[in-house]
Amino acid sequence: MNSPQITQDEFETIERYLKNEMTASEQEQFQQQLIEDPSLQQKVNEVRMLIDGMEAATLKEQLNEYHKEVGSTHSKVVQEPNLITKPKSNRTLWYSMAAVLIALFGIFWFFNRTSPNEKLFAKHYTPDPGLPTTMSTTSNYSFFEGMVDYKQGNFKEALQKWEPLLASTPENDTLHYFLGMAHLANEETKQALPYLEKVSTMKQSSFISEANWYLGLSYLRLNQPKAAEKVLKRSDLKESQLVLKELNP
Amino acid sequence: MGKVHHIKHQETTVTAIKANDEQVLKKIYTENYKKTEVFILKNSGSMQQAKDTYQEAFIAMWQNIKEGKFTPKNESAVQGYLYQIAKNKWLDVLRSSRFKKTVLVEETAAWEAQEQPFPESNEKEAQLAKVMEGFKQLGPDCRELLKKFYFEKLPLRTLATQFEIGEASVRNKKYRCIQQLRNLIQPPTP
Repeated sequence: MNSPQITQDEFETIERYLKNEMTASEQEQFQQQLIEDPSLQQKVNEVRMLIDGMEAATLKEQLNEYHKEVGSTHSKVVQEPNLITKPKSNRTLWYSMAAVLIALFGIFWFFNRTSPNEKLFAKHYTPDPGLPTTMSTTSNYSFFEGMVDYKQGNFKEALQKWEPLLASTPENDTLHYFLGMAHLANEETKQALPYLEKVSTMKQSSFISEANWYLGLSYLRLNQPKAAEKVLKRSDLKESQLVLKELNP
Repeated sequence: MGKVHHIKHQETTVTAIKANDEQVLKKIYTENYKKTEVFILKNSGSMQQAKDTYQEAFIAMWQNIKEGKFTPKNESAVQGYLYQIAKNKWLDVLRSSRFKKTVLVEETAAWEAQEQPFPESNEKEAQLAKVMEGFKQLGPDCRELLKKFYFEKLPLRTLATQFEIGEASVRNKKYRCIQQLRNLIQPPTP
């Protein structure tokens, strides 16, 4: 829209029209003018946009005011742990130091216990964040319901919802991929393998690189570096190349 | 101005929102924020993103009620609507370029198509955003006057008393402020 001149009289007339402040006959006359003069319609549209915008801009300022109130309750919650962790006496200080020592000991033990391949797995594995979910459609309802569980870390529930779907859609790569993801996140690496293998053979799947990547990680966790290498080579994710380098320094 | 303290009926909620009743707007805003915040934080958003998305949704909700595109039956309908808009807006962000993978999945594409219960014309939203941006750049006097007239909906006579000038002067001043706003917006000629 290019803006034509709008005189003060015109502006105020249009404003009265938009606010329904005209008498019936005046309104009728104005509407007739609108039909005859397209530039007037353009002006009406602009004035309407201006009024809406000014009102919305003011509301936005108000919202920032309202937000200060929700904000204050939140910061209280955020700051709470700070108060709790502050040691109040020497004794709590000793307790916390002892706890730290035990934790360090645990970490030490953990790393000595695991094979280098498992370490590599632990270093690079981050679970797939999942897909955005909404509940409004019926066709994929169970799938996305499972996705909600998956994102909340309830992998068993997610698996329970997804497994029955295999019967009706045995070739669905998304379903296979996330079945694999859920098993992997639930530390059932062996069960994850068949699903990920299947996706890695589906050339048209948009998950193929990710499937190969997670498949490689699964083999690492199972201490089978040769198998891992083979599948990681098929994935074009940056992380895959990184792990390959670490496998063959 | 009489304040509406208890909102029980459809009439009052809608009327109060249309009249920009401060108490009602504030109540709706503060009581529903948490739910949206939790949703966005759980879905890889930040607190700032939660606030921005929620405010955008709030303005859209208010706009649609004002234009009669949505007539809530009661206050909880307003709450549900507000949450739904916020959710959709956030899902749009997630589907945008930053999260490419989710767009590629064929299934999601089909499910996406039905996922627009509140169609918004983008051009209109862009123009509105321009006006809002211009308004922020106006001088404090103009902002104050325009706010009282368009948001608080005070009559010119009351404004004349408040600003201690004649009614005609208020009218002129208002027009000048709007001219300033139009100049700030400077719409590009096609």
